[in-house]
Amino acid sequence: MTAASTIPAAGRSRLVRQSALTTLAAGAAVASGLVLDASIASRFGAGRATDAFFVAARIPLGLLAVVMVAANQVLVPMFSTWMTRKGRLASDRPISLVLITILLGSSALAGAASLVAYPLMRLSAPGLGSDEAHLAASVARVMFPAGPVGGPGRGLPGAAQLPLPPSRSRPA
Amino acid sequence: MNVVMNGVAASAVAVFAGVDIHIVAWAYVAGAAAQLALVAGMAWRGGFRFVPGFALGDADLREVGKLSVLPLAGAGLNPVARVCEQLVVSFLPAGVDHHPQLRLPADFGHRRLGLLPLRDGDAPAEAHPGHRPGRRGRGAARDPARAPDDAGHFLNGSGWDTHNEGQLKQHLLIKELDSAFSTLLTDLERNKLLDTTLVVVATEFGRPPEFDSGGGRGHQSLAFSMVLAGGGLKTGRVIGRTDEIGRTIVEHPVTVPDFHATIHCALGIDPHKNLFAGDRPVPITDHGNPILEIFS
Repeated sequence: MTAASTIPAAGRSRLVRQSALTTLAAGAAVASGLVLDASIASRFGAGRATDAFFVAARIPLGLLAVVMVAANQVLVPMFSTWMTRKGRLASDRPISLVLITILLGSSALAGAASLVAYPLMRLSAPGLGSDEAHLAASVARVMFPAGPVGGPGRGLPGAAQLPLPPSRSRPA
Repeated sequence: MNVVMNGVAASAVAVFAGVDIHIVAWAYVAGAAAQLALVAGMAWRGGFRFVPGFALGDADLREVGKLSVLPLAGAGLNPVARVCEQLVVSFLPAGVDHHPQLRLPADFGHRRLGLLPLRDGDAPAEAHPGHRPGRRGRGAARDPARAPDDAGHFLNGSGWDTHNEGQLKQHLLIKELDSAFSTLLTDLERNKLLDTTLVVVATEFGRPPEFDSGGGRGHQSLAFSMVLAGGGLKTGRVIGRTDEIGRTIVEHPVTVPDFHATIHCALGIDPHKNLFAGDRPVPITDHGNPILEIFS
């Protein structure tokens, strides 16, 4: 008996559907990132403003990438373990705690980074001129809140991808 | 889920940007907010209910922490290492000598070489015996700083693009180059400028040993020769060797980046230096290494 044959037909189709959706979403994410880069390039071209923007975006987007990897590789197994031990309905609490932790941590980080935005830009891009560094710092102060806003958004899919029971079977 | 953030951000850029780069940053934040809203809606629809409240001493929080430590350390190591690597690389100052084998003489820093104009009153040397240059050859030999102001007429009709019949009179070009080059070197030497003037005869490709279908020579990138003279270098030697028909290199290959690095080195410029386009390091040579023996 193969492993696949042990899965009920409904479960198999759900698995295929989820896998296809995940694959499509990953492809669309890459394509949309390309569209975003192309739109920035077409609007601003290569120059002082674009250089400042990409320097400013490096740290917040890098941190978001770390959160995304952690969300994919850590939260799902962690929530699954929790659910196995305590039951599905008890998992809302740890998920909420994780989201609050991400929100608080990224807010503190963003606040601290905003305070030292200019030296951060000078440190992370020593070749940048003074004017460009000031521009990058002001752009970075706008970008840093993307962490507190986007961080929980990266963490929540961990919750959304859990094998949730149908919502109607759950008390409102 | 990035598709939401990227899509909202790209739309905002397309609609609002063009005036201020800050709009792009706001577009990112708006995209992140849209993504959070969408994911929160999906989680809610799937049955998730947010439980507010946060206390450091919370037993649930401690358990979450315990469960996440090991997977977080494993999964986070790689991206954190990549971010750290980028930061470390960005800290490297421009012009760091990463090649300790290259040690220039102490006086190379101020020996900035280049094509120097003849000083007033310096008479150009007479052409080398037998020199009957074309107009380009004559201009180059008499004043190395001044480009000829008239269009040249190559003796073979096609210049150095020796395809087809251009090959037939290539010997005239070689003769002209030989005479002009030697006259130039003699002129520089006589005016005591040869040690501070680097003369380069270069090409972007060579010619293969066989004829092409039109009786000329095609292109060959595998092996070709270039010449350096003056510049205080130990010249008068051949570096490298090809097979007997000049098709492939058999000894001491020198790449084009190596040749560029040698020129930079002779000009007193660190060939491993990076220039910066914004924060992007751009190496001034394509990671070439100078030919050290002509400096020793």
